[in-house]
Amino acid sequence: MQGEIGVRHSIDYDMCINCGQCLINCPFGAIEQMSFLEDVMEKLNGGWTVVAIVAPAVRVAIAEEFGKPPGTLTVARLHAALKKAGFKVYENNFAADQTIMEEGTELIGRVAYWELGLKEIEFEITDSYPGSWRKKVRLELKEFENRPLPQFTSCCPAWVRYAELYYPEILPHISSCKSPQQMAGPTAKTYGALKVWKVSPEKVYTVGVMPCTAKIYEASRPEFNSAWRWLREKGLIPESVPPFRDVDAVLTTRDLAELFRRKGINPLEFSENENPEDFEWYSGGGTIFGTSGGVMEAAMRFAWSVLSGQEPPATSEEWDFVKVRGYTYPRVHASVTIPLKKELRKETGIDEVTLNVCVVNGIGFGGMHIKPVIEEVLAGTSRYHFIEVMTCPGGCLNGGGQPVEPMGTSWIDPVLPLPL
Amino acid sequence: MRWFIEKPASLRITRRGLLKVFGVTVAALAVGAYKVTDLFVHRNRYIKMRQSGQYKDDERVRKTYSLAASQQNPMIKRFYDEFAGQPFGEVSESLLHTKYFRRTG
Repeated sequence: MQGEIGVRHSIDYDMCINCGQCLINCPFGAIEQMSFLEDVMEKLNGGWTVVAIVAPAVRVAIAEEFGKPPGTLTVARLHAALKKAGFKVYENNFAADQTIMEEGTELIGRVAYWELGLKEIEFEITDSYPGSWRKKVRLELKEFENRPLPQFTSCCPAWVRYAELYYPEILPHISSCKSPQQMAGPTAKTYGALKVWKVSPEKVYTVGVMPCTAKIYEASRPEFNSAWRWLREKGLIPESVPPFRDVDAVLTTRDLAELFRRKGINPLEFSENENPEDFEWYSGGGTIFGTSGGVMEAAMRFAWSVLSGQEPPATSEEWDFVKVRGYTYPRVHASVTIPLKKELRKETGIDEVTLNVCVVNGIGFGGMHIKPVIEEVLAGTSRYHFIEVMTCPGGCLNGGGQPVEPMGTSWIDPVLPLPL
Repeated sequence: MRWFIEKPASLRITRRGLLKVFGVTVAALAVGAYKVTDLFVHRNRYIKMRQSGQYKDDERVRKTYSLAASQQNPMIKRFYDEFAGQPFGEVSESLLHTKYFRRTG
């Protein structure tokens, strides 16, 4: 963004990463986003299975639009309000769990190939509560040749665009996993439509409800029509069906609040009790995706449990990786040592692995917090295995689509006697 | 002819009066400036409040449903058993993974 003081500013859209920080921090509230509100309202009128993909950070902020303080947790209430408005609920936290399964597996693969020099690895993902669940994963590591360490997270579309625009050499380091929103879209239109809701995929309309303006851009990326491509390849939809998007529309937290207001729904009036079903299930690891350090902690919970074979009770502190959480520091570093379980010790010949991790809590003005990390990786001197990047300080919960907080950085607002 | 004759300053405001005005102004400015630092100190309080909301949800899910890690999610188990097979399987490669593109020189 450029412009002299007192003169109208302009944004270079070609180099903009769409994070929306300018929007929530503009002292004059001069910046606006595009909105899918009208399209979604129309689709809700009937004929479509409209699926709301609700991001983790929405539940701690939407109450602000209805007069509650920041951080007020709205889960079941939000679900109930969405259902009343005519949506089906697909928890983006569930998609976050999908992301961890894929991204955690990728991390194990990269470490196995580059650190341990293995050609293939086989491990079991297990959970003994309540029933016994085992999932054997076998990875051919040859393709990890093109996936060097350290691995960067790919959940943040503004960060992905930043890398594509400013540091394209770093791209092989970024996890190939789509972001949760883009996993949710195709899953809803394939597995969800065919096996869970039993509706025809082309009549599913997916709406990301996101704390983020970059998610609007992400959903529009041309390659994200994978559900359509896959369904056609498998012959599950007729050839005549025109291409459809994985995620059809994106509403920001502010947009959703506006939708509720127009429909006369106040989410705070519903009860905070529910029995989750289908895509409403999510884990603790999934929900902390919205905060800086959350993706890292969720990945550590996965990797630690899978590699060490330990499964303490869910409330145990062993699941907490407090040292990776990002609060006010721009960068957080930590080392996590994981003792390997017996089978893996036999397979790899080592007793434990130490993962060095880094959490970038906001890329900073002009990328000043992320640049040193990238430069280090490009120079080959980085000691990290896994790096989480959140473009917005604090994580998604401070994203460009969130309610604009008068106690935020747009601090001129509370000083003025009259609103601008 | 009438001339304008400026009164001596001491007749307009006394030395004591001047000190009073200055004192009050400085005091007002000091209090105001303090208030401004207040705004800076508290400006990102809402981030912490929202973050604590997220960890509250983590705690809630772990306590109510015993779900701490992603692989414990019952729907994840269903998803991989009924549909995707395994992480990095064929379905995952088509639906859950992507590629990135160099957009500049």
